[in-house]
Amino acid sequence: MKFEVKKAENCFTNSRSYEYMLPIDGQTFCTMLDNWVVKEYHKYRRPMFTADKDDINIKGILKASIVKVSFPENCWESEKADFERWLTSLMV
Amino acid sequence: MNNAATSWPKAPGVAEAVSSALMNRPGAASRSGIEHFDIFGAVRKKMGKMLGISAYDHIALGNNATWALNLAIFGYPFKKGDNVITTKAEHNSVLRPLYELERCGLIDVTYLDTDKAGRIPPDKWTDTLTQVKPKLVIFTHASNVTGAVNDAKILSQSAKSVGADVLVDVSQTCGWEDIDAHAWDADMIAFTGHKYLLGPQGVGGLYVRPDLKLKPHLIGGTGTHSDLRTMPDEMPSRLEAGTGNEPSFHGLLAALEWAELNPLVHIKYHKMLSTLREGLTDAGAEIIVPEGRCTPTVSFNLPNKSAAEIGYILEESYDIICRTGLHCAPKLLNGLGLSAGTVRFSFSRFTTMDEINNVISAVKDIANEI
Repeated sequence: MKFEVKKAENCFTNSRSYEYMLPIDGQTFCTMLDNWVVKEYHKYRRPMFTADKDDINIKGILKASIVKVSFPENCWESEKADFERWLTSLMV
Repeated sequence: MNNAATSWPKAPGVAEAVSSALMNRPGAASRSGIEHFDIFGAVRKKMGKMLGISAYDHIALGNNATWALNLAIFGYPFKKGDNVITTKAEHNSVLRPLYELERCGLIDVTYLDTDKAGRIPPDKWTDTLTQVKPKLVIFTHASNVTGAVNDAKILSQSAKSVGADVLVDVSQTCGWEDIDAHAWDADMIAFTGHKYLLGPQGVGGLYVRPDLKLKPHLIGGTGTHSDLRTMPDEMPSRLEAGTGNEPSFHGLLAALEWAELNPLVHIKYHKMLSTLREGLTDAGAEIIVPEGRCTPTVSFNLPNKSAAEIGYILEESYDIICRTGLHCAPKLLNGLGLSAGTVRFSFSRFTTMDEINNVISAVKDIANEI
């Protein structure tokens, strides 16, 4: 899967967050998140999801194609690289 | 709901004034006579009136409050070993310049605790002044996290009584609260134009007491005394190197003129603030509620939901823009036991009660989904 990535600025301590623009919407992306703890929230005005695994957190709107990913501070570079390798390997 | 960061919308006439300035011939030093409109002089006069300053030509105009605070802190005539008192409620625009001067070994800084609402306790302030005998004190007129407004007159006058100079950061109050540099006996006042003054980003300034001479932090062209190897002595040129942001200052002037014609009526916003606080409390939020005077700002958290996630949902699911995190005031958040940050709502003169109710409804949705 091809994607675009951009650093997401914020004001939290030790925060490493990036936004990824995917070629699919959040709903479809959720079906690919095997071994992640995925929660969907359908009562919000625009329903969204969160997914967590190994201190990595993904948030996104189910009908949108941009997701926000937060990596753990202590190993964010390697976790980010692994995540992006995994994203690239996904077939869409 | 992020007006404590940058107001939006701007005052009527601001966008037109900026646009008009860009479409018309710019001002220049060689055309600064009586017949030519001096936008910077006009803003200085208006700001002098607003800040209670008669020596308005001692207001240097620049980019923002950070610019002004850097000018004040790095330009202040410290001697090695001088003491400074500031507070844990300060923004990084105060803290980081002070850290830098501490790191260089020039000054010693005391960071005074606030109360649980982010307000500076006058009794502790006075005790610390007596113990430390500072050369300079720096404090914010209001916390950008909780909105608690400090009694600047008491804090300033007690500092003067021990011989300290006083720098007040009015970024969070200018345009919302009364400011009176003369009555406060303040030596320096740093302000920004893009928050409650409702002007464009990129405008701010620093008032400096006429007999206090700061070392220029920025050095360059002033359009005057070009034969000198140093910055001119006279204010405001001494602190204003480089070409000013003329279009944005036209915008600020429009905002100031609009504010004169449309004085702020606080009572309307007290009702909004209390409605917001009550609605968030009903939703199960843990909010910081300062007693007494406040800017229209509320910081809160929801149990079992991070501030980052709440902010994300509000923005992406509800189109409600707010601020989350440490709000560039890390010492205050740590001092309040909120090192994971908060969600902050801050409204403006243009916020409606319907918008407040929509915000409350969205937070209730989030709380109910946890």
